[in-house]
This record gives sequence, C-alpha cells and structure tokens, in this order.
Amino acid sequence: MNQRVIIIFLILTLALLVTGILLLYSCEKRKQAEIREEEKAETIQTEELITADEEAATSEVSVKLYFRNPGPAAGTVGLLRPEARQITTSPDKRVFVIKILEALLGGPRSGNFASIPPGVAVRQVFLVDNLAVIDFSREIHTRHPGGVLEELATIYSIVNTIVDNVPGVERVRILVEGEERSTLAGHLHLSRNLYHSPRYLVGWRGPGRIIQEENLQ
Amino acid sequence: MFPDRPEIVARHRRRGAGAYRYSLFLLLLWLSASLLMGQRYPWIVVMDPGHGGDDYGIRAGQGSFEKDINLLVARDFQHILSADPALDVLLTRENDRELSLRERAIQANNLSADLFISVHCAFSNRRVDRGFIVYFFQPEESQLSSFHELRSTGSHQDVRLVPWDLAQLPAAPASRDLATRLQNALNRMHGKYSGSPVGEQLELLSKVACPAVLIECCFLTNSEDERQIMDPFYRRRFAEAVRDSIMDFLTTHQYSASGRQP
Repeated sequence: MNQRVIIIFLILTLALLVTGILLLYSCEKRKQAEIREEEKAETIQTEELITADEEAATSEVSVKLYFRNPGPAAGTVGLLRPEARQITTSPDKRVFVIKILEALLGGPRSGNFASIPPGVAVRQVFLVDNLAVIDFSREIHTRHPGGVLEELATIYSIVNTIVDNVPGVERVRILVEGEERSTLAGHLHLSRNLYHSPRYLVGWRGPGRIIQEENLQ
Repeated sequence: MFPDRPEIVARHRRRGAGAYRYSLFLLLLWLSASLLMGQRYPWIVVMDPGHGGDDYGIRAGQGSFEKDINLLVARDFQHILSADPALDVLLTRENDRELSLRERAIQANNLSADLFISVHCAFSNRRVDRGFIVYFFQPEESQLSSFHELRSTGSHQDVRLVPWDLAQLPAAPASRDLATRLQNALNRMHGKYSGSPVGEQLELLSKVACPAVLIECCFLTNSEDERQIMDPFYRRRFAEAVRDSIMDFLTTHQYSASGRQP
C-alpha cells in the first residue's frame, strides 16, 4: 500500500515537472520569437530610414553661389556675379549650409574670380532662428588682399549665397576663429548682423544704384 | 558854473557824437576785414593715413605697401592744405606705426576736428580697374531709428549725448555732401567721369563726430595707377583738388564740429 502511494506520488511529481519544463520551454520560445520579430521590425524601420536618408543625400539641388565679377564694374556696382552649382542636399540644415560654404570656398568654375582668399576653412556653423553664425578660420583675415571693394565682395558673397539658398535664414554673422572682429581687412563694420544686399549684384537696377550703365565702360 | 554855458554843453555833445562815430567806424572796419578774410579761422582737418606698422594693407605689384603710400599721400595733403591759413591740418600717424580704428577716431574727436579724411588705396582682382573711390558712412535703418529714439528721450535732449558707434550720424548728410564735392573735383582733375561717391558701413567713419570721408586714391593693382601715385607732381594736383573741394565745403556749410562760429 505504502509502496503504491509512493509510486503514484513519484509519477505525479514527474508529470508536473515535465509539464512545468514544457511550459517554461514554450514561454521562452514565444518570448524569443517576439524578440526576433521586434528586431526584424526594427531592422526594417532602420533600413527604411537609411534608404530615405541615402535618397535625400544623393538628391541634388541647384544653388546660386556669388563670386567676384570679372566683368566691367564701377565702384561697388556689379561687384558680384552668380554661378549655378549642384549641391547634395541634407536633412540637417546646418550640414547643408556647410556644403554650400565649402562649394563657395572651392572657388568659381565659370570665369569669375574667387571672393574668399585661398586656404580658408569653415570651423563651425550655428543656426539660431533666422540667423546663421559662421565661424571661419583665421586665413579669411590674414590672407585677405585688402581694399574696400574686395572686403565687400568677400562679405556679401557669403551673406548673399547663404540667405539666397538656405530657407529660413535671413541674417548672417561672421566670426573669425570663434571671435567677433570689428573688420575683416580694416574697413567695413563686421560685428553686426548682415542682411542680403542685392545692390552689389550684376544687373542691379534698384534705388541704390548711383552709377549708370553708360559709365561702366 | 560851466555846465550852464551852452557852448560847453554843445562841445560835450560833439565829443559824444565823435566817440560814437569812431566806434561805428571800428565795427565796420572789423566787419569788412572779416568779410575780406572770408571769415577765416583755422578749421581743424584731420588726415588719417590708413593702416601702418604690422598692418601693411595692400601689397602692390611693384613691391610697395599701401601703408607707406597712404602716409606719403597724407603728408602731401598736409603740406598743400596747410599753406592755406584757414586750415590746420593734423595727421593721425606721422610714421610707420599701427593704430586701431578706434584710436584714429579718438584722435579726431578729441581734437574737435571739423573734417576727417582717411587716405587709402584700392585693390581689385581686375587689374584694368583704375581711378579712385570716395566713400562716406551710410547709416542703416536700425541705426537711424535708435539714434532718433535716443534724441527723442528727455534725458538726452539737453546734454546731446551720442553713443560712440553713432557718432557720425549727426554729420552723415554733410559727409555725403563732402564726398560728392571731392568726387566731382577729382573727376574734373582726371578729366573724365570716374564714378560716384559710395555710401557704406565703414567702421572707422561711423565713430568720427564730424564730416568724414575715406578716399581710395588709386588702384594699387594697376601698374599705371601705382606709377602715377608715386609721382610728386600728380600727388600735388590731387592734393590741390582735395584742398579746393574742402574749402568749398567748409565755406558753404560754415560747418564747425567744435561749435566755434566763424
């Protein structure tokens, strides 16, 4: 009698143990399947994002870069001439500004003169509301050839290029080695917010135009 | 006793009339002398040779530096202008030393200058560009509005305080007129139209509290211009044209930053 009870108890205990193990195993299996599914979903999402990013990065937009006009000019009239260029876009506006500036620093391709001295690098770009703060390396000051006209060409090629091509940017502040300078080459007031100015562009016919076309020859 | 005598009273009256006539004669003499002298007194003209010291400015094709040419031209201006007793001409630097823009403006303002001319040379990537450019300070809308706001506030009305960065604003219209006269005189001297004066946000001029201009006398990137500016005869003609337009401006405006009345 006692022996039979002990055997039944042992069988029941074994059955419970097996059931428990089976339950635990199935739970673990389900959990692992869920994790795998989640991982798979994440991978798909990431792949989608990467693809979208790559698409955005590889898509190009046409931008207008302003360089020093090599043609007839009188005073500050007709100082800058635009040059179209294809630039890869970026969802990050800051990166886009850097790409445009790098194209500008790279120099002209269609007969214009460079407006920024060689060897200049962009150190940082900050975007605050509608203001773009651009920090250049010291060469923009030390290698500048001088003179009011070239100083104007340097400053307004940067300002007009950025404001014309980056949506939402209306003002530009230029820093040199992280600091404000009163002038770039000893003439023009630099430590202020600079706005887009069409009056230095070729073909400007606005009210600020004081030199007539016939006098340009 | 004698005051009652009519002939003595008449003599006293005649003496009084003589003194009156004598005073009137002196007054007329002084007035006519003033008119003949063109109401002159020394106007203070500050000439500012741009750059200097380690700040070379433009490096010209023939190896000369803008800072040296600026000093050369400014000295000639001083020599020619000082010959006129109505002008007292001073230089912001008389040798090759570096001066900040602020120090240059401080000198002019401390001297109560009646006129300020900064002498520079131009640079152009286009080697064919020649001639000269006269610049004046062109205020921005924001500067004008803050200036008018400041003037309208009661505390500043009496003492006429002007912030350092807006010092040029009261004289800005006169500066534009001076720039036009200079440009016209130099155009005549060159015998051809060489452009109009240009208004810009020039850092130095913005801080000078009297009519002020910046002249780029030549393009150092043009070999002919460089040769010309090194010629003393050409510089003399240039200085004479500047002197004539300065005198024309000062006598027309009767301008005096120091408040002296001619």
